[in-house]
Amino acid sequence: MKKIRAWIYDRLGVAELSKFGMKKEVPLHSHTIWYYTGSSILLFMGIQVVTGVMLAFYYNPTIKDANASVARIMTEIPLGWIIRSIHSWSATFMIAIVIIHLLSIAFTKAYRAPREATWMSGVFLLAASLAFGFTGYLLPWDDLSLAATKVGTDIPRSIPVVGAWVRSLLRGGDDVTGDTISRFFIVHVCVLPLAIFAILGIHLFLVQRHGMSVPLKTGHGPEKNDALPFWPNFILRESGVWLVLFGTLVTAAIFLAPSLGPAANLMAPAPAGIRPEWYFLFMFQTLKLFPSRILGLNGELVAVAVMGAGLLLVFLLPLLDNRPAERKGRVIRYVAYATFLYTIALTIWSLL
Amino acid sequence: MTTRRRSVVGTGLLALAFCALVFSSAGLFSQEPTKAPAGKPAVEAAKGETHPPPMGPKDSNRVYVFLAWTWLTIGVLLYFLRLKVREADRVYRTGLFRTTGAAKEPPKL
Repeated sequence: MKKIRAWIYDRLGVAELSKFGMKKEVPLHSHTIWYYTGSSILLFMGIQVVTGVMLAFYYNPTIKDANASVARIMTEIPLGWIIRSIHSWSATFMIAIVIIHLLSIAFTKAYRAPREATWMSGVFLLAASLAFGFTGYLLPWDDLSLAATKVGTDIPRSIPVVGAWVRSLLRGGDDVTGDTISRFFIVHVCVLPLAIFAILGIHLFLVQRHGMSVPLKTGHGPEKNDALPFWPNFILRESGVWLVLFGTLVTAAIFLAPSLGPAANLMAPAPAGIRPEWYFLFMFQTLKLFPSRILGLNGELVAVAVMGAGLLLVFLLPLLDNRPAERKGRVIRYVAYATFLYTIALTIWSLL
Repeated sequence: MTTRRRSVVGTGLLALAFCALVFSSAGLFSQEPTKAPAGKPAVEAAKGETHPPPMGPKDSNRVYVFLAWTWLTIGVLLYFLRLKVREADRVYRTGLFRTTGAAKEPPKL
């Protein structure tokens, strides 16, 4: 036993990894709790991968079988409904924690130099997570997912010159059809995972390179702060957080398992009350708020332009607020609060 | 192997065997899809809303047992983690494994 352990430790360099972990320190202050959100995202990502592979064993991405195969997973495959429910709920948990993580970075000004690239890679990760949600929503191929995907893929149409081409690229044709399912499935299980793991690698490398930031609110420089070794002290605490999150996920998945609508009918009109996933609701509501014409321009185009500009501003935030770390940047903070409140308010409005 | 380690390994193996027994008897490891009743086709594209399987008392009991086991395991693991965290913090405070500098004042944890 000892020999096997020594061999594994030697070949994998466990001692070096352990030394690195003990040398790496996590700042300890009143905002330390936000550090746990970063690694919690990894937990849900891992769960997504495992449950996604299990679902892919039985899922058929064709117009004829997509809905039936999901129904089979839910009714015939042992514990299939729990696996599907965990997959669905872990996506929700993951996106919620990605948003919380991003907000915590924004409000503590952790995106400032030298961590601009870390922020930007994080925004890419958020975009990839949302793309996962969008592509995954169509896969059950029920009335609601078809209608929501039609609305979602129709948004780029209002963009001048390339709009029609982008829509056609997303749909694999002029309309949402079986080709769209195949396209979304491949993007969901191949393209996005490869992209997210690549960006995640860069993000984690940048976090290691620049270390964890200490918020200004702690009132003193990093040298005066307490710190905690990453290994084992922080990891052990993190494991506790993971366990509680996992238990909450399983409980939610069991008691609030998602149902499956009737198989989509391409000829049927859109059902009443179509609605995207909760993380797209504020965009959906914004689109509904804009009138059809604004100053002679297409209202949808204006809405898309405003939302696109908003996303670009979020991405470029470290370049817009590139003042020395000791400057507080109140204007940016108030804009961030206002945007946050707007998002919450429109999401609630859309749910009512 | 010390007596303490032997007892930990033994308890772990027993717990694993117990879980395997309970779960396999509850059908959690089954790879066999539920058979459609004779004369009825296998699942087709749903015509109405499909809800998570209508669970009879036996099925719902399995699920509740699984959920209870999950939270019980989490509780036990959290207890052990708490002990490990305390131990790790104590070791850190002593500064035994620190490569640079002397032992610092203990962080307020």
